[in-house]
Amino acid sequence: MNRRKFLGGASAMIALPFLSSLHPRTARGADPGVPRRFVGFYLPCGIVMSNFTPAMEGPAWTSPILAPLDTYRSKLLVLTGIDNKPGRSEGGGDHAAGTGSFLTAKHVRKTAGADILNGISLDQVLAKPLSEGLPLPSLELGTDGGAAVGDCDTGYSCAYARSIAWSGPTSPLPKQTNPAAVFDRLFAGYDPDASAAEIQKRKVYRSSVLDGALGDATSLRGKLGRTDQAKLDEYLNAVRELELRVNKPVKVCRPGVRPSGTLPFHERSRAMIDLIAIAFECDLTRVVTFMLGNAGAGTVHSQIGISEGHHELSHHMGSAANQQKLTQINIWEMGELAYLLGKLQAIQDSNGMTALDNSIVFCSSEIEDGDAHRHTNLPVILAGGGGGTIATGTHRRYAGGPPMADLFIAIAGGLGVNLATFGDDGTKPLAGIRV
Amino acid sequence: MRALLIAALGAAAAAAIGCGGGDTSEDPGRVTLHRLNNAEYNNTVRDLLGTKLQPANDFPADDRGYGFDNVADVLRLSPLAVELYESAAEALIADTLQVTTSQTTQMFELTGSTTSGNQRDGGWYFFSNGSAMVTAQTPIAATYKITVRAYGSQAGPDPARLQIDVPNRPPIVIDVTATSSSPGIYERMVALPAGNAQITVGFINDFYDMVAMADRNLWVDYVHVTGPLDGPQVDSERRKRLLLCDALDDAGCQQNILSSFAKRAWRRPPTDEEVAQLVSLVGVARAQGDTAEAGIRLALQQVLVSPHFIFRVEVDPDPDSLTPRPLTGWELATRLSYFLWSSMPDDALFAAAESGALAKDPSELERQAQRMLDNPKSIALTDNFAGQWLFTRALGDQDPDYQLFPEYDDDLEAAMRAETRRYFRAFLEEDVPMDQFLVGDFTFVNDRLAEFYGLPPVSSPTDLVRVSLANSPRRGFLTQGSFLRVTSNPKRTSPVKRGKWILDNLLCTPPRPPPPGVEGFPEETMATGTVRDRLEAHRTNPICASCHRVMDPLGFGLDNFDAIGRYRTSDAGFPVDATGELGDGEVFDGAIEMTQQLSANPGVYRCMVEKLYTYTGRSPFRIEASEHIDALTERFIDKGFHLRGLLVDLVTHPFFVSRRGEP
Repeated sequence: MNRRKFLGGASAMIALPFLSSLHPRTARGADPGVPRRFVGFYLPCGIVMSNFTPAMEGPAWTSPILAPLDTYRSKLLVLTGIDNKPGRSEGGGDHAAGTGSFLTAKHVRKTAGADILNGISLDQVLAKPLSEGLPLPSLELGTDGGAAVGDCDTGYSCAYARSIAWSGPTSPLPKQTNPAAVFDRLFAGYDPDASAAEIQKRKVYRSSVLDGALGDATSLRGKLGRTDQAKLDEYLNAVRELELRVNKPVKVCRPGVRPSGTLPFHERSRAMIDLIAIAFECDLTRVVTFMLGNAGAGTVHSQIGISEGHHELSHHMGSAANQQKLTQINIWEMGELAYLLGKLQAIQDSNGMTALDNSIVFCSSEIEDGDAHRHTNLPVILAGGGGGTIATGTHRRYAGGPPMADLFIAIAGGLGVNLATFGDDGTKPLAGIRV
Repeated sequence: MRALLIAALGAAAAAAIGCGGGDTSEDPGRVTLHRLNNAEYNNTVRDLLGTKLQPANDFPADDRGYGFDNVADVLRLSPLAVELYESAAEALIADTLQVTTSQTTQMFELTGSTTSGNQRDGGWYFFSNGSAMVTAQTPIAATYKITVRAYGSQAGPDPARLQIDVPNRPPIVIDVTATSSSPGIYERMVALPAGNAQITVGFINDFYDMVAMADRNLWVDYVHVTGPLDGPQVDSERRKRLLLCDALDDAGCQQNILSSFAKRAWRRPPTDEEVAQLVSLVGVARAQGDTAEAGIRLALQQVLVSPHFIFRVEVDPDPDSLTPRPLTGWELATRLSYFLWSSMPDDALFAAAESGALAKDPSELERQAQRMLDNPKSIALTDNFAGQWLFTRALGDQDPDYQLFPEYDDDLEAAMRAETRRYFRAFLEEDVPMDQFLVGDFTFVNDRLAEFYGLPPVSSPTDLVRVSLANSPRRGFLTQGSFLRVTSNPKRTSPVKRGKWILDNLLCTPPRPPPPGVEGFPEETMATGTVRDRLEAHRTNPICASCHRVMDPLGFGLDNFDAIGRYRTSDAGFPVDATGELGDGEVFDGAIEMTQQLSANPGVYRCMVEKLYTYTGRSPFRIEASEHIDALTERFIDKGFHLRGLLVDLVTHPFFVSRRGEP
């Protein structure tokens, strides 16, 4: 089919109801169970803990920074006192080290070069079982591609600073940061009006092109030395994976309007969250990670009248004025999370519950407080019921600094994936999470 | 001077790498299979297809290592990237083979100044009635779509009104009811004449009520002009360049088209088997009832998805052998063009590869390099090498505080960016010796930048004009707005960032990272001293002092320039103290003295060579490399600091013209 024509016609779909009922809600005939989903929601530069941490445990918690989430308090689990000690850096670079470790709970190797080493991230552990049979195993989104020059963080590779999703120890999954490009990726191949024959022809064509490229790569591989072979294997694996996906059944879904590719930061964030909701609504994937900035982001939050860079401010040195501005940024960030939760709440799933009830959204930052660069007592918010498996509606404070990896084991369990261990220090599901 | 510098070089080299001496190694090393980075991808499809599409803008951001984004070992390839290569290939071939007059969207950020507005958030903010103009290219007289994104600060009885004026028709007036939380997109179809169409966008109903504090303003983000949407169909030249023959059903014609395209795209002649496989895709399309052209499109797409296009492939006859082998002409042409142009070879370079001259004759290699440096495409070396070395690529990543620096706008930033690009080109194209880079008493400004720098007007509103800095406090690169801005925070200068940049990128002696728990200082609501005063802790705390006593003074030397590069003699009401000393105890007062002293330091020239060597070699550092760099630096200084001479030395060096396998 003609991709350009389809895209050109996208604006004609404005009049359609946005969450159209045209697509089948029970498309996954092979999986009659609850559509469980996971979102990893990353915030850079830490949180002002004095304005985050509720004074009391229990359901009556109050917190200035969490105020935007108040509507959803029955669906939240606010967790304090959890550590991610593997995130500690070696001699500086805590933003990158903590970000690399954000969903892997592995201590990453300090290198600016080719020999990066991390572990598999929670979202990728979940992607295979949760998204089985869907067009995309997972979706990696963010607001910023990466600074144009210089070190990413004190001797750490940009891969750690820019990617929280890792499909393996040496395989960071880069994220998309342009909402228009994400929309094209999700929907350019899906013409809701294409006939079965047209869909089939397109599959044959795409497969033929990829087969040819795969043949080129296979014959090239035999002529290369081992370092080059390893580099080419990244390509070979990716082409094979794409070819499998091309041959999956096509999902028909009316996606709504293509977002602009030139939005300012805060509008880009909203557009990305809209796309997360669309991807879930159309059931293209059930696992998403979203980075509201890269490690140690220097974003200037001019949308709320703050003109200092976020990272610069986060080194507040106890200044009340700086902490006040940081708190404003944190409140804005929680507003973005609340916007996502509202979108998920509006999606009705096949089991009669909302997508929020069936999901687990994990939100945290790469460090505790921006000034201290600690990887202990991290700010954590879990949202959503995990399909009735998560004991939401309260604030829990943990003593003794249990590992984040234990929380990840509990989250995976809630989503139906049982893990015995996780990361460097996860050995059991964290108590107090599951129903 | 040169002899002194060379004599001092040994010490500088030892300081930079921690050891000195040793014989010059003949080991050329090897470069890992190099994925085209995003800049290279965009330039390559531009030169291969004549397209204006830049698909790599939406590819994942490139990994960086060793200061540059072209280090082959660090350039990873993700499943997402392959998926985007596939869709880009489809879009690129469709764009090139389209039959209609190409329909394009021309995007305009508003420019030009009126007294009624200023630039903000990348758009035009009209606070009273006024207008701004753009000029669209209209290849034929036809219908075009004008799209404007705007919102109003609403006040008074009416919504903000936008007027669009186009040639030969009454003004179009649009009620902009949208507000800042959700700017509106307004589209109108208009008939435009062929040639250039001037489109004026303006605000026509300003409203201000001082008592009610009501102020109606209009903000316009962009103007897009899309079209032509109708008009006659014509074959494009780009289509003919790809489809070399008309008998698309003929096997000979198909082979001709596909082997010619693969040869350019893969930067070497394809084998007969490879061409046969590409031609087989015509059969695939035929079996689906499609035309031969549909099949040829598939084959062209495969060429662009193939690893031979995505990677710069160099195949060793014996991949396990450590014996160096000379590169083939095709491999050499590819290395040369991606080094100097960040793009594929052109026809002349391919011809030199095919004839064998390039690989056999070092003078042909030098001749080609000189020819290519004279080509405008060598701007890639300025944008990609200098842009990363000098950090000027980061200009625009972070805006300075709007209230503290209201005069800093898009025009000024664009002029600063252009200044440094043009300044670097003076060394590259006009052969100004690089020992002037830090002390040059000239620069390039337009009226805006001249005014900002306190220089006399140059009667050139946009284009840059060469001017003398003789009566100015500025000299050389370190006093240019671009550098001073990217090494500052939004509200204030950062002497630490400036000093660290000099240590990292001018002296190649990076400081150690700060110890854990040692961080910056709080922003003050009421100034208690200059930034310099507040960095005092760096000198009194011995842990900090070990690095900062070297780093901070280099930044203090530039403290007469504020966070947007404006000259100043006081900081927050306190007098600026721009004195300091270099590591060797030589004292200076201000930028001019400091840059003179830096310029006499041989470590600076070794570092320039090291940076360029890294960019050229695209590999992590090896021990042999430091010996190569020493020798290249000695020649660079001895021959008079000529950048072009250094570039020729690099491209004729064994590490560039040969490679080896690995055990």
